Amino acid sequence: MQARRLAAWTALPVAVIIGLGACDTANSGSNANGGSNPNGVVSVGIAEPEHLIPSNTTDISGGQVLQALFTPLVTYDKDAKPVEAQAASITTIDSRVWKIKLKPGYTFHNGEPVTADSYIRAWNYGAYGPNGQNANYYFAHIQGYNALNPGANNTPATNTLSGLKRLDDLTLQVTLSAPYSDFKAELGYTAFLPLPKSAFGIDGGLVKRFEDREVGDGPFKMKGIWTHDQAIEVERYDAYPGQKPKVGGVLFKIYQDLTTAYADVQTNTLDVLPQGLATQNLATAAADFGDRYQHSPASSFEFLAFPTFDSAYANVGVRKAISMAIDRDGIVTTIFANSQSAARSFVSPVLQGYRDNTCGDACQYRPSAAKQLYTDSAGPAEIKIAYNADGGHKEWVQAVCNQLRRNLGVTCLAQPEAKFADLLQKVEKKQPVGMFRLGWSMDYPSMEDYLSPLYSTHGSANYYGYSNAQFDRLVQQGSEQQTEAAAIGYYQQAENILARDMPVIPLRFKQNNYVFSTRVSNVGVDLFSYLNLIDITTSAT
Amino acid sequence: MIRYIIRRLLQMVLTFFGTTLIVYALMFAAQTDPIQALVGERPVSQATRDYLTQRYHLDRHGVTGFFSRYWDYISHLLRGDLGQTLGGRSIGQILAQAWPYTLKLSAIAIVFVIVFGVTAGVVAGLRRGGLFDHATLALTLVVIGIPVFVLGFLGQYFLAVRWGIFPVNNQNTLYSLILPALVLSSLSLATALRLTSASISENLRADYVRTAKSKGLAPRRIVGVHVLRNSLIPIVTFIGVELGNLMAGAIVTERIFNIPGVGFNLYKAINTEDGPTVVAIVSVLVVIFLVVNLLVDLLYAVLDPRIRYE
Repeated sequence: MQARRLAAWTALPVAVIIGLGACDTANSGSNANGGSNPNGVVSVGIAEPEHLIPSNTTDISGGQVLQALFTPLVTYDKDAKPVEAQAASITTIDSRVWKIKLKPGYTFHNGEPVTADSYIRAWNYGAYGPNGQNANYYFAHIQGYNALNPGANNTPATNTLSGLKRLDDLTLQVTLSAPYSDFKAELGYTAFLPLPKSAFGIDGGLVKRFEDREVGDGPFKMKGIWTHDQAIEVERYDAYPGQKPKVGGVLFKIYQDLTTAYADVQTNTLDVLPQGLATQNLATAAADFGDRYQHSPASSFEFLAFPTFDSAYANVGVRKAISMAIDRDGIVTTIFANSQSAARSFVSPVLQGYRDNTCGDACQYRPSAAKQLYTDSAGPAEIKIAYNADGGHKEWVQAVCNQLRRNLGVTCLAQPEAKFADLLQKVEKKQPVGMFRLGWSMDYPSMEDYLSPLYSTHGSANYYGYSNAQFDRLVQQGSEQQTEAAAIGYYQQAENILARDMPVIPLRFKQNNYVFSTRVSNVGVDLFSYLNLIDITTSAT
Repeated sequence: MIRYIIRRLLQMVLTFFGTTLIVYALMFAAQTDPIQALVGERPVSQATRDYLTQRYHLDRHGVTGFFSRYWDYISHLLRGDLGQTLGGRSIGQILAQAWPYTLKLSAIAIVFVIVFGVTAGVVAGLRRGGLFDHATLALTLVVIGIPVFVLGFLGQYFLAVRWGIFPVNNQNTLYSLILPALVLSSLSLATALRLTSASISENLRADYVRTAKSKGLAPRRIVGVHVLRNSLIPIVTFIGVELGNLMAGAIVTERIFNIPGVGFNLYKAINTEDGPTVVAIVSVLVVIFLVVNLLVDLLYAVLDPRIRYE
């Protein structure tokens, strides 16, 4: 007994001393930031990737790892315009037949050279319906896609895309089923990465668990295998002909819940958390990290959609009135601590062709005009806003509801659905969910990627059933143009239609909010929320 | 005794199948759109949807669909094949990777419960009404009243981030599991403490203690041999059940401290409506509960000679 009591009293001062010691080392670390170690390893927090096969990877964590392991045909410059990376040149005359010349000297990590066949093999595999690849529909522009995807329970007659042709070892010709002016931009998406011959077995299928020992053609190669739920480690690939990274390797630490990685960066156990900062940490991040808490533009667009089957919102006046009754800036400041920005356009500001405030008066906060318009348009007395409860949307949806209640004099209900899938299913069954929240982020920088999937009549993410023939035609015409500049003209006209019809209410554009440890510098996170692994430096040994 | 064990084992087989059926039925009923749940907030291509539907027989609906899918599952299970997740990983491998973490975590937690909870309970029980008893009563009430995620984040913030005594998250070392085990065990520890103290003080007033005292036995022997042994029966039951609870109930703790154990995999599988994974994990948990319960029942006979199994 005596001994235990004593132990309790000594534990406290010891704890305090250890705590002080930890503070000291943290301070000296940030001062001695100058020396960078070209062989140091940077640790990066990610979630468990779904897959690492390029044509099966659509999640951001998997994409981040592929950034290290592969070199895409194109990357994007500061203005989000595509620039050749693994490709030497990408040319077209009519936006339908594209000639892709590859740079020589690139090899996969097993020594195999990267050739036109490396791309053809990988794309055929990804486009073949029965392989069930998540990014399958990115190959839909290529001629012959339909033959590989004849629908459920039918086996395709062929397993190669008729639009892909090898001209020589380093030249590839791609024929699209229709002209598509943004194809070059699309080629930067992870689905279009190549695969080595060794990835495929004799039967033409992928080698079992190839993704656990992925072989790519990028600046880093796998070190050991993918330890599921724990870590993926990569090291510098010395035979890489492109721009070499300034670190020796990257350790991707896998977090079950990315929000818990925050404390690891705080204690310098983890170097970078490129995305996944929880809303509750935003308020203290600046105090905790100082200038190691940074923002950069991202592509996400958050909006509220009106289901077209719900007659209560059929009148465009009602939709505009609701939009005008929402104080976007107020929500951004109070709930998101200015880590996002208010949206008054339908495409992301990071894009070529973005115009400020295309939504016009309808997205300005004008409560009294909103009330007037709402009454004149005979808006419903009760508004419901559905959201998925698993995404941290509760606070802002409730804030929107409060504003509508106050400014329009309606009753407003923030209606949670357990999961995003539940919400979608109710919408598909045309149940009266009311308005509902959606988010969109781009796969490749193009206005078309914000317009066609979301609002064209058969758009893959047009869950609310918006349909406007003129809009469809303008987007179609845009993608048939021969230059991007010409395409943008049509896309902007299409965006004007959205501003007139208001099928959705733009709310916010997201930013990347990221934190990093005292050991690393030159930390940058791009439009896709990927950490730049080429420029980052570390002082870690 | 042997007959009793065999009977219990046969009952266990029945219980096992009953539970898998119920869990499978619950997952089946809760399934809305597992394919959308898998890809999250993005559109799913028709090709992917067709492929997954066909591969996992997601188009079999209704009562007949349920039984045909359940039969598929059980027949594979009996051949030792736990199946694959919707993402294409082998469930057997996932379990083999996750269980060591959870076992380590709950073993450390149980050691805490026994070393701190039971010991402090004995002290509090022997000095009933004393300062120590009152202090621990207040403390345990507070601990029982606080939800585990609050304890987890508070522990992480103060003991790891601010004072740096423990690592923040799991580092694949036993030392990094101590803080999560402490958080995980706090509730059981508090309960064990109260239970032990009540049991001891009750036994101290029992007739056989008075007899022993009047026989002139040394107080140390009375407490050490007679009171402790008799007081242990409810505690052994509690710890046995708690061992199962700790393994199954580590979902929150494993998330906060990033431990890739069973709890987290269970949470993820429920979220992605991944029926086979949930059933596999729950089945293993059921087996553990059953075995632990059997062991606890057998331990009764060792602790208390009056109990005989026929």
